[in-house]
Amino acid sequence: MLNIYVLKELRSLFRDRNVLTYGLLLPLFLYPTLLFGISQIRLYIQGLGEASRPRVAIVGSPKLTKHFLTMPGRKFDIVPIKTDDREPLVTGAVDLIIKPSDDERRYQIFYASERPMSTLANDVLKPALMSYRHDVEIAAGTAVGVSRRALAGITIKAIDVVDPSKTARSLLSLLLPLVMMVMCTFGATYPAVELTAGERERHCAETTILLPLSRVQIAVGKTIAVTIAAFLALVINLIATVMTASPILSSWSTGVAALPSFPLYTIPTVLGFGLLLSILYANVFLLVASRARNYREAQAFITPVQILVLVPGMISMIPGAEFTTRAALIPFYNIGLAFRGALLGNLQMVPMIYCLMSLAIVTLVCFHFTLRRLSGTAPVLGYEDPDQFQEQCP
Amino acid sequence: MIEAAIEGPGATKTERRSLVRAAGLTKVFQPNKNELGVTAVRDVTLTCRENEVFGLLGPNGAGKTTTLRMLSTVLPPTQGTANVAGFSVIRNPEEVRARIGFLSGNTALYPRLTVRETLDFFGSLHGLSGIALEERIDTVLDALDMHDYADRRLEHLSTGMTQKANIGRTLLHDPPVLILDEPTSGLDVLGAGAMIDFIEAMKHGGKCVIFSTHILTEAERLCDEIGILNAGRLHAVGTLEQLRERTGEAYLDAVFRALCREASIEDAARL
Repeated sequence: MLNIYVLKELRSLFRDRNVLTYGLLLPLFLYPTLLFGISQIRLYIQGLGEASRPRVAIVGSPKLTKHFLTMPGRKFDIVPIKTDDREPLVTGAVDLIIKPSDDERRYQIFYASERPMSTLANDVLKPALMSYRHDVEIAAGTAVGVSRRALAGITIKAIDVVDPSKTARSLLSLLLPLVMMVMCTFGATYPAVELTAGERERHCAETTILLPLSRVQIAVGKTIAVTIAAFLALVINLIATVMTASPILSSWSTGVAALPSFPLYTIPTVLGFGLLLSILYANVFLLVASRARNYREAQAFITPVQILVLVPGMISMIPGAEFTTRAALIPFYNIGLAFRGALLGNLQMVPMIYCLMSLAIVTLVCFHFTLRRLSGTAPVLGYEDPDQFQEQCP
Repeated sequence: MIEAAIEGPGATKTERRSLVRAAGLTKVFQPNKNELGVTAVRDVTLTCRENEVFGLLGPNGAGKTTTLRMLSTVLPPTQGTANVAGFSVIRNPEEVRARIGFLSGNTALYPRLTVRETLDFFGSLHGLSGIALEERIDTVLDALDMHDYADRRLEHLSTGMTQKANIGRTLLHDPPVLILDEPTSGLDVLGAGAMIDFIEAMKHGGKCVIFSTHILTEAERLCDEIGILNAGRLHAVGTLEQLRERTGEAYLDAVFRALCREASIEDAARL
């Protein structure tokens, strides 16, 4: 009986435009389009940066000018300057001016911090000047008989000992739980509204109550339907995002390019947490939407709750947040931390048990109040006279 | 709750089975625990048998819809009890729902399902399956002439077509009791006429039909017994002839007005 009811709810849901838009169209079209757009913008900015080089002017010092002109891999252009005042910098004719002292032992750099190109010029000039200083020091040293080897100084090279795939995993463990929370929120919202306030608005709530099913079966059926819809939306979102993101991210020189090297247990972990999120959000949003008279009111009720649900999840993504026993008791915050731990492969058993208990309590409380709402007079009288009458049972 | 196991329209009133029996039905709506409740229905007692149409008449706000909602288990009574087809609306609401067809302005169908899917859904929930379900759906589609639009979604159908689908839904599991709340409301003359014919056919088919209306000609044509509800109280119950005798009026609208007046005077005296 319950499966017949759930199938009917799912059939109705997946014929609804809002559910289709947020569950299917967004992941299939919007996310790939957004990622492609971001990729194109990144390439454009990169190209722009490569095409436009900072213009540097040197006042006097033919020696420094010659050094820069012969420098391999130079990332700026040398432009001539007639005056030694700062006017060309103010007008934008140059991005940076280098002014050496008469004995060329002190160098002043003038730049305009309000212009990004001038700031960039300052950034690229510093290592170039350091290199020039080093060359001058070596030349001066060798002139007085000090060996070049003695003047070579200390070389420092930083080496990252972490496997690039682990870096990628760490980065993804910060991003993926949050992305999934957002996707699941969208996936659960419209089905929850549709099956409660939407049903009431269309005058179908009384028809549902008249089915030869108990109110518990109806509440369970709605919860299962919303959970399935949210989970499907989440999975479709993930597949679409990963399929689009992988080739684009691979073309970028970041650690996320190592995405395919994730261990196999990541897939059941992601799906398991996805299901947990779907059950939790389905119950929360069903509770909120069941209090509303109509679709519009349900949307108004749900929007702040979406934020309330997502903010603890966002906080859990802050580096340094730890999955302690105490943190495991805070609903919505704990699931983000647990998910992160699972992705990093260091999920601790005791906090996880606490986390599951905490989430089970929230889910059951939400279900209890949803059931109470569906069992009262509200589904029948709600759209006419919301909350006006409270049931007085025999 | 079954008086006699004799079926068929030829049986006398006392021989026919009582399929609906309500005793002292009361419904109080309370805004909150500190305020006095609003009594929508007070101490309603009625009986309806097979092959019989019982009409509930009353002005707006008299409690007709609330009474029918209690009989159909949509609302639980605050006091009193009712048995439908042998089952208590309080103790066995699911058994009652399996044996009634309830139709009202607020029992709209799910708009994103087709007519056939709707019938399939309701039939499956009422325990039909396989060939038996398909045959039953075909029978209902034939009876209500719905084959042309059986595979169209309800959201794309006219009011009349949707109403037919809704009737089909109430009949699909062949319930012995039909509870109809203002069934002709919102229908045009042809649609309303078809609905009257349908109720008449159900009566002759052995069903027990309880319906509410404030269209007196419908009640005059269909009802074996009429109950006049006023301010939540069932003031008078009887055949049309009995009510005429009681009021001394010939026309039903005059009978109705006289009984409502009488009820108001009684209520005022009680206060």
